[in-house]
Amino acid sequence: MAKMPTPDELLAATPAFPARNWMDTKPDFRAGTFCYPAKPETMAGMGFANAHAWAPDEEDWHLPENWEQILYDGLKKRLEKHRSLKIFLDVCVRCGACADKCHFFLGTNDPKNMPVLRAELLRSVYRQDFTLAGRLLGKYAGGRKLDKAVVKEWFSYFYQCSECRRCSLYCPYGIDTAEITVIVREMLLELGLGTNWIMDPVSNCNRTGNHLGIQPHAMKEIVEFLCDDIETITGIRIDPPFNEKGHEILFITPSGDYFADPGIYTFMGYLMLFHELGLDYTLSTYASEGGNFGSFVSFDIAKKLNAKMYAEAERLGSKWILGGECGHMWRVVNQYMATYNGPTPPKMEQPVSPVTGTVFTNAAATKMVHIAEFTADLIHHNKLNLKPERNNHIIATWHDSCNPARAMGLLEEPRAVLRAVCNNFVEMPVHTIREETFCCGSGSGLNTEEIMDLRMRGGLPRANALRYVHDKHGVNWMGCVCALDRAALPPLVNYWVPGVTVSGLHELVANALVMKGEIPRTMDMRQEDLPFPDEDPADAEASADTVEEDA
Amino acid sequence: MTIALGASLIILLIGWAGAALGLQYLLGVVLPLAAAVVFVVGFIWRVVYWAKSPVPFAIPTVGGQQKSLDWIKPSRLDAPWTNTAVIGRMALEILTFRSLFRNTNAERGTINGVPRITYYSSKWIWVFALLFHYSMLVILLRHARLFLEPVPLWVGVVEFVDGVMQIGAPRFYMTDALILLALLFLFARRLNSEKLRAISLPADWFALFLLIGIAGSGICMRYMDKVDIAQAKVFIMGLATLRPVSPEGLGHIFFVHLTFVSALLIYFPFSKLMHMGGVFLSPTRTMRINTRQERHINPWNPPKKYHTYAEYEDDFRDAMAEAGLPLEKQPEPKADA
Amino acid sequence: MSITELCHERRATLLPRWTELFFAAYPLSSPGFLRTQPDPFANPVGRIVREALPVLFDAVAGGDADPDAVNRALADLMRLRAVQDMPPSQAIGPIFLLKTLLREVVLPEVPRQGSGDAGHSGAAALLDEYLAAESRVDSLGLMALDLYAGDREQVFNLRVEEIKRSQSQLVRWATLRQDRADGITASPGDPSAAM
Repeated sequence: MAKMPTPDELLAATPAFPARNWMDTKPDFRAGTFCYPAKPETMAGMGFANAHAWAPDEEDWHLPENWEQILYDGLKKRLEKHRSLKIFLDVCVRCGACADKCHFFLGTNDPKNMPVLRAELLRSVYRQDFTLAGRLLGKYAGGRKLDKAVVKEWFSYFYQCSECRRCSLYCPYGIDTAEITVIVREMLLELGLGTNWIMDPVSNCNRTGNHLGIQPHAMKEIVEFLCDDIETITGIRIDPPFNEKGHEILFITPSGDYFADPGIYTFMGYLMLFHELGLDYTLSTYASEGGNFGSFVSFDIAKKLNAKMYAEAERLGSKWILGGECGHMWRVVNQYMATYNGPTPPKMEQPVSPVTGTVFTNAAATKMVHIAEFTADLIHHNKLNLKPERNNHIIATWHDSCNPARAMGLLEEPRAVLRAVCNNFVEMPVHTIREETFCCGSGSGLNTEEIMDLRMRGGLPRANALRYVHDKHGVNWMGCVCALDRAALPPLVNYWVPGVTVSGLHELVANALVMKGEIPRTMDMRQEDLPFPDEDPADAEASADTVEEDA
Repeated sequence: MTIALGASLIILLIGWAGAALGLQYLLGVVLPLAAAVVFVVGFIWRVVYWAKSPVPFAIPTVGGQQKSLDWIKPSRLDAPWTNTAVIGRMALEILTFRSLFRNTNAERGTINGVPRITYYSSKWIWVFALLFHYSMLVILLRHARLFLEPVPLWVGVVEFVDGVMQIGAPRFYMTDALILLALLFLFARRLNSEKLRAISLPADWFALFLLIGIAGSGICMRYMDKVDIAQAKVFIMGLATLRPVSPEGLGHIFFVHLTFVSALLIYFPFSKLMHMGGVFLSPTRTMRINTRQERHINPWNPPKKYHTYAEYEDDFRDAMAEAGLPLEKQPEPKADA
Repeated sequence: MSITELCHERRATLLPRWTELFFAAYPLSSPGFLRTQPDPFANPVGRIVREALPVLFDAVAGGDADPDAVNRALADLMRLRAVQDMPPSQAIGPIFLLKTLLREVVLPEVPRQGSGDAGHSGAAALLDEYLAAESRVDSLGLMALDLYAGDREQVFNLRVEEIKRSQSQLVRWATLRQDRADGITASPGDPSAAM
């Protein structure tokens, strides 16, 4: 008779660490641990030679015949193109300072999620093929032969990096895992290995201008719905211009803000702000995606998608571009756009706020301003009529989105805005914010539902810090300036810290913004009752009379 | 680790046995000179190898508030926007290991209010890394006595400060103890932490053993198995001026030390020790954070290829017209209309 | 000495060993990162396990346990285990392993302590008490099962809701188009249209 295993035996299945050297462990592909592969037609449509059908959980990935050559040449080419890659592969001393800085490692405890080991996955192959010590000594010099299991490992672990660059902040040599991740993903694309949630949006952004592939007329109608909602809340009808020539400012925001909850509330906030200021701006259906899904996987694709911004500014004759709240969009805009697609079209000018006259000298080359900078400047010059009391039911905290923080240094601007529109603001613990901020766990094309478990693990460090202020200070709202955050944080927060709402910055601005000719506000942007509604002017007068009579 | 230990022991053996077998000339003259050549050429070759690749993109890691609106105080050294500020950032990085220092975590209570001890180990790595590197620097400076005649004043000053405790004869240098202490800490840390064990390669252990070997043999030479310093100087001056003199009479330990040093010099350009040069070239630290203000040029910037507005309008013209969106070109009137 | 007292006396032995069993499922286990990194923000997984287990242990030991606190501790623990990429048996199993530990550490004390106190009947009473403590481990296991299943359901719910959220305005748009085609006029701004 078969013996039933004891509980101890049943649970002893996990080997103790370190049973094996990391080089000898193989990745495990079970449902929920990987992103779905990109469709071959999508890959082919974007011009990838080796587009093919494959599945991560199958043994054979149907790699092209000459896959080793492709990778060897690919790495060689990239070493010649990027000094960063050479340095980052050569100088790591494996001090381990980065190890526990990665939210994926903190959430999973998988050794290969330590940034140093993630990079070693590539470094070992580089040593074997490109360094003298590796050629002579092989594995004794930390080299490793490239085989198909290594490719699978790359796919597994370089798609468990959200390119948040937290590790690079702590590295004594500034080794930037995001750079390595993008380069490995680029090489994987050359083998025809991509993920659906990145390549589909890339393809859509390229053709229709936004990640969901919404066609221009539908997009316009959807924005009209949002204007209906604004009218319901404020009594003011806004009719935003689309694709119109001759406006001073072209406004570009991630397309998640048009189509997805809760981004739409932030988008409504932008429209209300622009209307109130009487800003001379236009939206564009052609360049309607600020976010850049290409930047997750390839410099060339990032450039291709980004090029539309300047092209549209030139066609419409806009003087400068105002950018909405987004994370990777701002990594690209702030650090890559001028290099990729500059210099700007000749008619563009250094951005100047038409309301305050502030010259944005820090955007002299790209001629693109972040809306948090723009609004912070307005508030500093007292140009907005705000009623922060409308947000009195909110105890807010601020999530610094990785890229605006570590690729830009946008730290005080959103805080200045938040403090002006919300009376209750509490910071999360000190090593989890500002440049040391934790990622939502879903950045760089990982915010797809099939890996929800992984995202819950990866986002745990952020949720843990949020829970601390939630328990201690009753924080019930978390603001952020990233469309990915607005998509990825609600499930994360619902799972770990139920009772906290996630929103963009300008949703809170919109709540507080007093517009000329508006009706007394009884609803917030989500059309939920305001606990502290505006007094009806009629009632207010009546009560004022009573007071006078009493006096 | 065993591999690295084995390799280090072999080097030790070569030094000792070589001296015992009368290969003083080979170990004392040929090897060090060859090692010096490999080191210099190798170092330059590696830096040139790096420098041959361009820096296509400006990818500085921003460590603080950017410079934007004039009423917001920017973080000058963590988000430098001028060359001077970048030099400041690099100086902080190289002289004080700024990024490693970030590793400190302040003590905090938990939700239950139960106090917890601080996370100290990552602070230790900063302390001991700094200790090791500065001890190394002082020891190198002290060694200048053996290479320069007359001995410059500053060498005396360094020696005085290092030996300020005035213990023993020959005078005990603090850095001798500190470097060994720091190396042993770095070794113990690698051995004790599961994370560190997981990521350590033979090369990591080897570098530690080599350095421990050098420091150990050097200390032996000074305090225990004393080597005639005057003779050593004559010999080293001979090497430095490429007019080698006979190494006869120098103790075996001297050759062990010299062999270890030679091994390090040869190994250096091909190893992670090149972080010494690499840190000066790391784009995430050496670039200015003014990437929207000044355009960074990519020498291999590919030509722009993108889906143009004209192509886009061709795809959606009818729908756009129907929705009342402005068009560059009006749709053809429908044949059946 | 009662079982509760016995457990509390052996707490310093039992609790760390039980905690180890929870960490054992991770590739980096003791004496690694989870145990040595005490900063609650730098080590959230460790924090959750370390905060929950003492509460659960005391509940098993008997005495006065606040059911809410126990429930909360167990819920935190299960919420973590439910997304840690392990089969349900692994996720919940270490709870039952407390029995193994009790049998090893506390059970041998039962005849000894019992005979010391009031002879044979004392030992029998103490054994009853001991079995009750083991049953409390079973109860915890069953509660954990409920919580685990609930957490898994929530994960799948989150996946569905995320898709809904990401396309909320599209569905609204499509619904309106359909309604127009059917001749129904939906009131603009009706949030139910987005559902």
